[in-house]
Amino acid sequence: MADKTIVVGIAGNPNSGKTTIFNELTGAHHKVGNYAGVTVEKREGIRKYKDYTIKIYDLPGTYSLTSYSLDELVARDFIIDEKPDVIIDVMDSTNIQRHLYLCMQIQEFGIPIVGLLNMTDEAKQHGIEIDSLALGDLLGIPMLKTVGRKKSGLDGVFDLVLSTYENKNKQKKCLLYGNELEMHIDKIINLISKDEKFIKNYPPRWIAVKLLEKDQNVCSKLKTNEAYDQIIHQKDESIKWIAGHFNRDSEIVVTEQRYGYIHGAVKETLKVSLETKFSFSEAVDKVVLNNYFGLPLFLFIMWGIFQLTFKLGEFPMSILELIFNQIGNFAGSIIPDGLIKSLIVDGIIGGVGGMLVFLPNILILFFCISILEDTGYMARIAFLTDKFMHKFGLHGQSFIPFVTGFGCSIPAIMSARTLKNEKDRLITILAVPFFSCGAKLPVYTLLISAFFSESMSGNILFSIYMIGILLGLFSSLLFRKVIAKGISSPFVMELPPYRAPAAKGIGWHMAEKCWFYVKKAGTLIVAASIIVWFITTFPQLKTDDAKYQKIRMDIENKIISENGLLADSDIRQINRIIEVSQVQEALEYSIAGKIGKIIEPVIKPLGFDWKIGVAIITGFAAKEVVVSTLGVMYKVGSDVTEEDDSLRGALRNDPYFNPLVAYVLMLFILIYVPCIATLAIIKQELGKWRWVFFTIFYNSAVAWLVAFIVYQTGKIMGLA
Amino acid sequence: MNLYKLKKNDSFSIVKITRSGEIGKRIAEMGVTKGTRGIVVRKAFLGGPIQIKILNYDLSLRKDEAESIDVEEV
Ligand SMILES: Nc1nc2c(ncn2[C@@H]2O[C@H](COP(=O)(O)OP(=O)(O)O)[C@@H](O)[C@H]2O)c(=O)[nH]1
Repeated sequence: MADKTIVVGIAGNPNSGKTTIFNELTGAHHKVGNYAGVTVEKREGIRKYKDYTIKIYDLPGTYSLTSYSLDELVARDFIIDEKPDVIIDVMDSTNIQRHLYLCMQIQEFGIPIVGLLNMTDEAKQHGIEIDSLALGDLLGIPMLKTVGRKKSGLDGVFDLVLSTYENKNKQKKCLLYGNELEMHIDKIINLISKDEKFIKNYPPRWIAVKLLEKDQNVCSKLKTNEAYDQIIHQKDESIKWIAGHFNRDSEIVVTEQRYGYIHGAVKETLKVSLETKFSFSEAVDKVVLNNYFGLPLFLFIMWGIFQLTFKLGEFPMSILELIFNQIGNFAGSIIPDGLIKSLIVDGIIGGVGGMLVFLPNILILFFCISILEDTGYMARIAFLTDKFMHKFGLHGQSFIPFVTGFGCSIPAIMSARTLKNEKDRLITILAVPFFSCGAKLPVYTLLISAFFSESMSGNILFSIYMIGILLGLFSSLLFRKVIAKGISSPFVMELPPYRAPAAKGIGWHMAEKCWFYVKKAGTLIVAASIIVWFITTFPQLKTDDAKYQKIRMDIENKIISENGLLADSDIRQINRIIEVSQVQEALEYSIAGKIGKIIEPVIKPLGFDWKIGVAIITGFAAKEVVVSTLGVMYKVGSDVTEEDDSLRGALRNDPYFNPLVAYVLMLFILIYVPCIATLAIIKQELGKWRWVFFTIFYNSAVAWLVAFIVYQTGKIMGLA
Repeated sequence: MNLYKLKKNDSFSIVKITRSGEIGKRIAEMGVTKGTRGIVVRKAFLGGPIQIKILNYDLSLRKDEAESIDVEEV
């Protein structure tokens, strides 16, 4: 017999053990992608069993198929559009009613289901005993008892899947909604069924129920039905009648009836033998969610993660930097001087290296976040911070991305995936860049140490960070009011029991995250680095050898006339001066330099001249680059660091610079366009260029405005 | 009486969700339906979220969501 291929989807509520079971069923043979156009991860695996090739998809964890969140929409589209042959529904036996709710919705769509009553070990501890055979018979869904973590009960899954598949045309059971509702459902079904073509694609009963639930999505699907107008008319009548009869909205009536049916079935098949005694989760929550210790404990944990990410990450990061330096040097030594060399060494190797050095940070951070999520602590964080975050139109879970943003916007934006509501995620991602990242610190350090006394420096730095936080929070509020209108997503959240995370799952999770980062962001970042290389290199200036020869002679003569001789150290000094002058002149001549001059009128009211303009432009590549550009512009060489005295001195002596300008520049660097890598991640995570351009525009506008106000006020107050 | 008026460790039985639209539906789908019994596990202070136990799991709700659930004490 020839091989047959069947498609199986694994569905279930979050934390039901779905991923664990998916991993067990597919072994190591699975690959990860994204659902088309969205950032919901799509795992798929292939398994051969008997004569069948079984394709297994892991659907996002959802509580229902109502299509409110992105996850639900994806799960639902998969079920509706791809029509899998069988769905395996993983359920947590300790609170089976809520898990059966999803199961019933899937059954309604007419897809054969296999139910896995998972977590039977925990259920036993709770004294819960389910008669799975009786329950399965009652609902018309074959059930197995499993313990995903111990792989027990999984042997029979594929046999059950195949037998369910082969018997799919047998008379099926369906959930009954009680006489009153059934009467209306029947009326609608009759109208829908007039269009025979339509009901080939969608089960009419499912459509009818969804209409009573006021499902917009189904309404638009219905447009192709011949009897559309009649159906809609009947639907509106029915909804009105139901609301009047039951004294509540019809969508709630439908939900209550579904639960009623489930409660009825569970009552007959579930026994609780002992009353619940000690609960580990509740004991932990007593501390973790305590009104007084809860928040400090959370902040301490956050601080720890932060330290781990950026301190522990520093070491591999410096090794990576070293490696890329070596590769750059090596490539530099074998490629002949010229444009190609500059492109490869500065543009490509520099760009790839600049991207990969973040990898250790991302790895560590996601390791920590995975643990927070898998243990169940993440939900507690949302519980603790929601009150505060809600004031700014955000959700409790936005807290993590924001705090992470102090380290680096890239992992921060990626971590916003824990937010299940699309609008919440959008707002959070757009606000993250205001939380001043680590790469901006060298710029602050340089300017503060050059222009402010030591006793002031802490306060100055603190004020910069605080302004960033305030801008981030108030921008969120603004975004909520203007671009992501509507209330923030409801806070109706399960607090799952604490569980030890599974090492395997976390390993996968991290590998996936890193791969995504490298693949998606990588190409964009490299392309952008090449652009920055291009605008700082072209058009090329023909070095005027004669001119520099003359400058060299002048300096040499001057030194000789003063000291009588020319020491080696003097020659090195002169070489350096000449080299920096050349680089500066080339930069001035390049596109970046020209842009600096062009934008000078725009940044003049902020107290910046064209040199600062060039530094700002090169800051697009990465914020720390601002320091080295200033080094070039102030003729102290590009290999300066923020601790370098010569640059500090040069800035201090520049007539243009003063403490006010320095402070305004710090504010500007804090707020304006985030670095290219961040923009690339925004594109990757939000999918649309629109948000990249929005960020560029919005952040620049805010930066200009804030800088303008501060500079002009400062000038009036006589600070300049 | 609405759910948020209850105190820690109070037991209740759900009467009705007074909120309509997405949020009401969402709350109902989590198992907050007529006749279901539960207990208040904790309330965060200063009007923070409330945690209840229903159907043998823990559910947290914001103040205004909890206020849209009518319950009777049992
Ligand atoms: N006690 C117990 N824990 C399980 C079982 N199955 C999975 N887990 C654990 O439950 C947690 C959540 O599982 P996961 O597969 O990530 O759930 P998902 O959110 O549905 O994908 C993990 O810590 C698992 O190790 C089980 O049958 N019994």
